[in-house]
Amino acid sequence: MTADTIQLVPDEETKAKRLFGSDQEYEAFRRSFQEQVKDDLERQQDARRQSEEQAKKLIIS
Amino acid sequence: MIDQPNGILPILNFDDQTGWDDLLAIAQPHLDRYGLERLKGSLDGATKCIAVEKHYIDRDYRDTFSQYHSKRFITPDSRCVRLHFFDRALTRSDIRSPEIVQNNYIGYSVIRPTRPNCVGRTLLRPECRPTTRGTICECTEKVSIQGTELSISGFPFISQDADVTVCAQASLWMLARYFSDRYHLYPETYPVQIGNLTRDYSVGRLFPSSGLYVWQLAEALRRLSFEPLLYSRNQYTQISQQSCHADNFDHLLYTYIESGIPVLAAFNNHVVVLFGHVSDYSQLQNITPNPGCDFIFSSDLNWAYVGNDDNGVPYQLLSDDPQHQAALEYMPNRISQIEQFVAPLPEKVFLPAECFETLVKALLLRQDVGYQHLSPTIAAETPVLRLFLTTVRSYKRRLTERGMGNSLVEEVYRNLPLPHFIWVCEISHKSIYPDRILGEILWDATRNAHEPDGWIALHYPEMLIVDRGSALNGPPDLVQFSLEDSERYPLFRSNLRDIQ
Repeated sequence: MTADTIQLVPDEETKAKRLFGSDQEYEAFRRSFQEQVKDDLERQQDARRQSEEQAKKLIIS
Repeated sequence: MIDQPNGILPILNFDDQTGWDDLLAIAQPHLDRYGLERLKGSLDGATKCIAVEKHYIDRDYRDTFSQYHSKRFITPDSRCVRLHFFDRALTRSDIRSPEIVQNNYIGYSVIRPTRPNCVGRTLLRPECRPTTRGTICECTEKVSIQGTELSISGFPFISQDADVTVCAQASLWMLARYFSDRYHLYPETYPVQIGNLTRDYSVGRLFPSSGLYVWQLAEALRRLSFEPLLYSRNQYTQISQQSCHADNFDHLLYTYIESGIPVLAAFNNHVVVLFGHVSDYSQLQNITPNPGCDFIFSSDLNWAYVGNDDNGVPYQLLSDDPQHQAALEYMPNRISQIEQFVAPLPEKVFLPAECFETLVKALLLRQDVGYQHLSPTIAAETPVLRLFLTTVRSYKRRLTERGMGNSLVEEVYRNLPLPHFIWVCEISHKSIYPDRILGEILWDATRNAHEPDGWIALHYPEMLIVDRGSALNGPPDLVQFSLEDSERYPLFRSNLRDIQ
């Protein structure tokens, strides 16, 4: 059985419709979403590296 | 009254003639005055009866005795005393009937012959003191008192013995014991084993311990099969372009605890385990979003954490109010003094809390799938968001009782193949929080933060969007279902338990 033939709910074809009209539309969504979060994710990656570095200096006894 | 004071199991019932000082006499030489004061601080008021189990062989103390204390010229006793606490007066015959005493059992504390700290492995019901409060992670143990099997739920506590364990190892032990008690996946780990976890990356001797660096705490957790993440306050306080939190570091700490993941919170030269929080929902009406932010977060209502400080007593609160610090109910430190925390994530959680928040906020604010565009119901008020991680097994177990606001959503979620761990962002309004929510976003916790395809489901009262493609291990295939007559439904509650 392929993924296309599996239904999440009975009569899915009448209840569900595709969110994006085409693959191109979805790709555009992906790209703009990535752009939207890029700066924040980069800052977080840097904060993680800095935190790991600082963990080498904080002693607990 | 004391029943059989010279027996193997003396039973003390507190009355006009019998009190805590009698316990000191009976539990000699293991219990000292300092240990007694700590027990009183933990249990005074609730405890009415104590069964003193003498010649108790404690596996944690025996581990340190065998590998450390036995090597001394003068050796302490290899055995311990275990104290069982009950909240009403009991006879010996009562204690032999689990059905009679189970509801009165407050927990146990192993008293070691170690100085300066004799309080060893301890598991107490969080309600052991009238002042304990909040919402906490807990595990359950079975206890046998001369054949009477009782169960007790709480968060494990141990004090450092100042030789094999100092606060770093004691905190690691508490965290590790919680996980091994709660999940079969994690092995039970004893104090010397905890100390040995850093053997390959330590400078100098391991025992007696002189403490650990925070990175060594994280490495020790890695060796226990966790994937720990480290957070420094000065790196995370204001990390986003438009931060939604007065302090993002505190919000992240709260988010992991809300996910049922206890954290190691490191101060300058000390560490404690935090495993619960205290929220004041009465303040919700007064809370407004941070400037530049479109949301209120459940973390905004949190004013204290619940934790175990090995120098204190179980279930102390950590707050930022300087007036609190003098009371035994509170730890001597403040929330703002936490410099770093270590979150021991399970193996298959690749997406950290801060990345999930960035992604989910971005999704909610989009023109195409955001709530302003697709959900007039949610857009009618400022959304209140609650973020947490959970297992799908636990999430699906509660679908029926929660109803999910619409039978179609319940049906789709039940049938949808999902990863073991999911991040959840519940969406609510001030007027109905914390009783009801309006929708949620489910995100695959095994995703990389840079993959925009990680959302599995986006549920608003008017619409459900699911990625049936990823769910079936294929390319993304986002489908939407229109929803009618959606209702408000209960929050997901499973990771933590309210202290009654």
